[in-house]
Amino acid sequence: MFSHSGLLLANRRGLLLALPLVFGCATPLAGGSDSTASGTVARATRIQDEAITSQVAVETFEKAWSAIGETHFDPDMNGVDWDAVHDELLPRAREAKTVGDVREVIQEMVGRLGQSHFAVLPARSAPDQEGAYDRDVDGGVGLDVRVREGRVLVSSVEAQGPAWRAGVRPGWVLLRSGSYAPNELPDKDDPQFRKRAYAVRQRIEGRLFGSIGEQVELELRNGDDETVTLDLTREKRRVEKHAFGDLPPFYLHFEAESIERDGLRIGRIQFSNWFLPVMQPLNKAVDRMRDHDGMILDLRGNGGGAAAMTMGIAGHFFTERVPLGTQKMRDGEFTYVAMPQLVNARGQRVEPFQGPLVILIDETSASSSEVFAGGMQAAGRAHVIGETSMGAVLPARTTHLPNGDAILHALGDFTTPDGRLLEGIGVVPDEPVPLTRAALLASGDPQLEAALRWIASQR
Amino acid sequence: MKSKRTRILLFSLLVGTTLVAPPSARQETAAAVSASKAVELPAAKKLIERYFELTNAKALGQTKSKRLAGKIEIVGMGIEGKFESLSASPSLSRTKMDLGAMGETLQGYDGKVAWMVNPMMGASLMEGKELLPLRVEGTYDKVGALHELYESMKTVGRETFEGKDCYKVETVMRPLEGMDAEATKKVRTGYEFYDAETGLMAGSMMTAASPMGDIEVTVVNTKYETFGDYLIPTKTLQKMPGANMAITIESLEIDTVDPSVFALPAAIQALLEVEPAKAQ
Repeated sequence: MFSHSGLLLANRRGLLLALPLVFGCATPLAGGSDSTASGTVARATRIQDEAITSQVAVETFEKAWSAIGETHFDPDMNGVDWDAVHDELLPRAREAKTVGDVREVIQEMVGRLGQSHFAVLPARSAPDQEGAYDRDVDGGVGLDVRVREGRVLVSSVEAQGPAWRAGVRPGWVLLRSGSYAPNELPDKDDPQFRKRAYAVRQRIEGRLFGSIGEQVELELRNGDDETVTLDLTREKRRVEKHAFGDLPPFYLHFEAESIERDGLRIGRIQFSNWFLPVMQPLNKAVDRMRDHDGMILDLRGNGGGAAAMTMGIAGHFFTERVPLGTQKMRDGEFTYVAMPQLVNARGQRVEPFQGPLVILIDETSASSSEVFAGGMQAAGRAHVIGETSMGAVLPARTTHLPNGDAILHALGDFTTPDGRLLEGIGVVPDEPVPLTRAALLASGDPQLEAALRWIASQR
Repeated sequence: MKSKRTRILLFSLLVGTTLVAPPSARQETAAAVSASKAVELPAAKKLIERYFELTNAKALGQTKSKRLAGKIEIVGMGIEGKFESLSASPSLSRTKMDLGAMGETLQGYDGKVAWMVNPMMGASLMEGKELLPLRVEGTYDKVGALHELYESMKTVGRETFEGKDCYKVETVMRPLEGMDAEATKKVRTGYEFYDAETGLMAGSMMTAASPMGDIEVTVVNTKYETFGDYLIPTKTLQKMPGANMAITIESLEIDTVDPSVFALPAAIQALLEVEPAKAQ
């Protein structure tokens, strides 16, 4: 969350502060109880057999319970009787025999709130097991998926990657990844569609990613409706591993390109998380694209990060400070503000980009990505294209627990400048462009195509 | 503690009763006691001068420069780093804060220009009410400049602050030239808490102007230590909405700072060359 700059000076008051703090507006590790099947806890349960004393288990439970109770932005705890939850679950914490037992009790507790950004973050020193944080996930086969039309569609294929070389293309249907054959896929009319679709994608990623050089068997249906089985060897993913406080490691991906289309040059920037290592390449990319006819910020697949970065990146598109939204907490509030970026990486004075701007989102765009997209949309500075975002937008922080784990817990609610709450709702695109198998097979990326068309229409 | 609780009780009783009926004779007595106690509050000037004496702040203000360094931590979030705060007479300051994954932030003031370079938010000038505290904190000899920096200081009560019996002093910074004094009263006003027993400042409360709005901040000085001839708060906890920051000073050097370190960064010079960004 929070972000950090400000004063730090010796004075009669001692040392004065650092403002504004960054709050980890993190990737939606838990979308309420729904995510327990796929997110952090699903991983944590596999490393749960370390013994724990009843005393530590109870202290851990109590710390988590009180940290949330004291900082939750809603004194009414989203309508949940927090004291009753404590009294109900404390006996189970007391009986916990392993670290995993107490994690499950805490996860059940936070699940009662039914909100994003509540999750147990297992200690990094926990034994490495399949799916645990330290598992080697540097390797991949170069494809991404989305759940649509009751099936898992290949939504993008990395050019020249293992899947690409094997002939896989967007619009193919993924039937099986390793031993995992997705079934009971959520229907688009399911109120929990976005979270469940996201969870399926996470499960598939858990099979696609792994050690470099290992093989993964995929069963797919190609564009001609033929079933194809492929043995693909994982290669180095185009990501860099980074840490941020107590949060699980992030595998950051950044790419920028200039697209030539009908005499126009349009910049496209895509990044996977809002963390500092992205800032420098993004600044340089924007600098290269200042003379372009339009720009696209592709936030599909971007699960969030440090919310303060939204202010700096938004500043590339404003000449004045403009509010992007308000984070309301129990003990105060912050306004996210676009901070005009008037100097480039070389220390030269520049003008922020004033041309047409598109933001691409879908249900994998969460947290800080929603703060940014919702704020830019409300400010009238960006045309949002794609599908409704996750709706997991609560700014959060972490708190250490006595057993060595940490708990991620939401501190605030976020409201856009035009008064919209995004939690549970998401950012609704100005121009909805649903992904379908037919559209993916036809154009590769119908949402990007829509973005290019819109920018062309603004000439 | 007991006598203080009694005072609070008396005050509450007095206020409550006054709202509904004329004070009785007993209440008049209570009012007299309260007034008498109020008179007993030491003057702010006396408290502040004592603090300056205890810390040798006047002598510190007569040196040419100082360098403070130490570590910082966002409490309970696994984010730690280090800082270096350089300052020199008359009004030069530059602070570097490196918070690892959150990057390195620079902030400075040269008596006229206050600036910040933040890796996530870019380079910016701090103007208007954001400049106010920097002007005060950037003044090297605050003891000598106290009356130029503040328009008023008065003791407004005696209360418990972070478990300590303290005198509460209200301070009001002078507005900047052209500034709407009334509209900025809130961010110009702070409260300092002086330990009634030791005379040391236990902490302070203020409303800090930032790009993200006005933010309530409480600073708690948890430990004082002597560095050479000076006594300074070496452990400080800054409480802000949503997060606390712990600051530990590990070293203090006097008159070792090279003045060239206060030169404006290229990014700030670039901002000043053309029309400066307007602070809200």
